[in-house]
Amino acid sequence: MDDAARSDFLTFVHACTGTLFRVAYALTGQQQTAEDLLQASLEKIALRWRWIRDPEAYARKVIYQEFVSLRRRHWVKEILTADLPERAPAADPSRTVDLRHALIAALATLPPRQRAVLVLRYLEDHTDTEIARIMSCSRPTVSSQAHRALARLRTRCPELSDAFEETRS
Amino acid sequence: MTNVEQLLRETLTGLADEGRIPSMGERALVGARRRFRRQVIASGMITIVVVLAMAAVSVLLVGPGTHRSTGPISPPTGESGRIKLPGAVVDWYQGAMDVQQSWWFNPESGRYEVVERILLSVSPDARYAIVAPCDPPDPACDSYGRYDLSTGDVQDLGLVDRNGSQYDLGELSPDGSTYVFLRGRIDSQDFRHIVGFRYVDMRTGEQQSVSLREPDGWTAQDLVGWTADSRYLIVTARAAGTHGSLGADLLYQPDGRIAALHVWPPGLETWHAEQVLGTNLIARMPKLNVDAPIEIRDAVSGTFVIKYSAEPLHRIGMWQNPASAVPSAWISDHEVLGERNFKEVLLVDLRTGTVRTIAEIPGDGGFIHVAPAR
Repeated sequence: MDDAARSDFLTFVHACTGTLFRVAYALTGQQQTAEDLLQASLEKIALRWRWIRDPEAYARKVIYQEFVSLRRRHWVKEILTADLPERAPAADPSRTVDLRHALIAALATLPPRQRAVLVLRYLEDHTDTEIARIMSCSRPTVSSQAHRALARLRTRCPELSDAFEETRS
Repeated sequence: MTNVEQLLRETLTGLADEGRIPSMGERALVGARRRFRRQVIASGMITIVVVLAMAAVSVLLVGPGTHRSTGPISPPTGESGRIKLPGAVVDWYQGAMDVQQSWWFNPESGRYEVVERILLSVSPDARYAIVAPCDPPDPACDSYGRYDLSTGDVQDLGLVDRNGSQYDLGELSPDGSTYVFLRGRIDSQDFRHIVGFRYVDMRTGEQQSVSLREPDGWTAQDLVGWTADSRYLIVTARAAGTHGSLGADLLYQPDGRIAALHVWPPGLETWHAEQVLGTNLIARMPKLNVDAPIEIRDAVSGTFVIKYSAEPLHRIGMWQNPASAVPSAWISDHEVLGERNFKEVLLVDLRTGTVRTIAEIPGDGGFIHVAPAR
C-alpha cells in the first residue's frame, strides 16, 4: 500500500468507523468483541484496498462474513452466554425495557448466521434479496435462517410470547 | 404491547448505539500486516512471514517436500540473511506486501520471477504450484488452481463452494507428490466439520475425492498436517454437538478411513494444534491470550510427550489478536520461532523459558521463511 492508498484507507476508516462499529456491536453485543470484529474486517479490507471499488459496501459484507466465520472458530465460547457483563442491570421497571433485556440475552444465544440475518433485516433494513447478496447465500436460505431465529427467540425468551402473538395477529 | 419485529428493530438499534466507537485506522493497518503474515502461514507453507511495509510483493515458497530451504530466498532487491539452526533453516529478507502476487525463485534460471497469483505450495521439482483463488472474487479465477511455473498455465481445479460445502486449504505431502484440500460442511446445528479430502496429484493434475468417516461422538475439525512419512493425515477432532475445546486427534488413511483416534485427557482446553516441522509431533495450543499450558503429543502413537508453560510466548507478544492465528513455527519439540515488532526474529526455548533474538531485520520490511533442515 503506497502513501496515497494509505491516506485513502485512513480517510475511509475515519469516516465509516462509527457506522460500521454500530453493526459490529449489534452483532456481538460486547465492546471488545465488536472492536475485534471491526478490526479484523478492516484488516482484510486494507489488504485488498487496491481492488475494492465500493469500500463501505464491501466493508459491510466483510463484517458479516467475518462475524460468522470468526465466531465459529474463535469466539463461540465467549459469546454464547446470556450474561451481558457490560450492560447495566435492568433498572427501568417498564415492561418494554425488561423485554429488550430479555431479547438481547436471547439474541446472544443465536447461531451467528441467524443473528446476522436479524441484524441485517431489522437494524439495517435490508430486504432478503439484499441480505442474500451480503451473506453470499440464497434468498430462501435467508428466509429459513430468519424463521429459525425467530422460532429460537420465542423458545429462549418466553417473555416475548405476547409480542409474538401481536405479530401473528 | 408491541410486536416482535418492532421490538427487534428498537432493541437492535438501541444495542448498536451502546458501544463506544474506537479509533481504528492505524490499528487496522498494523493488524493487516499481521494478517498478511497469517494468510501465508495458513496457506500450508511451512513458513512464517514478517511484514513491515506495504508496497509490492515478495513471497517465495519453500515446499515442505524439499525438506530444506531452497534459497537464496531473498527477492531481487533488499537485504537478506540465512540462519541455520538445529532442525531448521531460517531465511529473512526485506520485502513488502501485495497479496495478489508471489515471487518465486526459479532454480533453472537462477532468477526471481513474479506470479500474478498467490502461490500456496510448490512441488519439490519446482515445476508446479497450487495457487489461491483471486480475492476479491473474479469469475475468471474463482477456484484454486494448479499452476505450471514453466509456462504460466493454470489448471482450474474447480473447487468452488456449493451446496453447503466449502473447500479449505490443506497441505502438500512431505514427499511432495500430493496436495490435499479439505472439504468442510456446516451442519444444521451450525457446526462446521471436515467431511472429505480432495487430493491433487502435483505431477499430473489428477484429482481424487474421498469422504471422511467420523468416529462415533466426534467431528473432524481441522487438518494439522501429514505425518512425516506421508502415509496419514492428522486431523483435530471435537466432541460432537459442542463448540468448545478440541478433544482428540485423528489419524486418517488417505482413503478416508480412520487409522486411529487419540482422545486427549481432560483438563487442558485446546483451540488449535500445530505440527512440529517434519515430525509427527503436534502441539496442543490453548486459547489465545490465555496463560494455559501447551502439550506436545505424538500423533502416530497417541502418546503424551511433554508439557510447557505458554508464558514465554505471551511475554513476547506472539499472541495478540484473537482474530489471528499464532504467528509461529515449531521447529522442535521445545523450540518455537516467532517475531517481535516486525523487526526481530526470535527463538523461544520453552524448556528453559528463554527468548533469544537470532536476527534483526533492517529497513522497512521483512519476511521470514522457515523450513526443516535435514
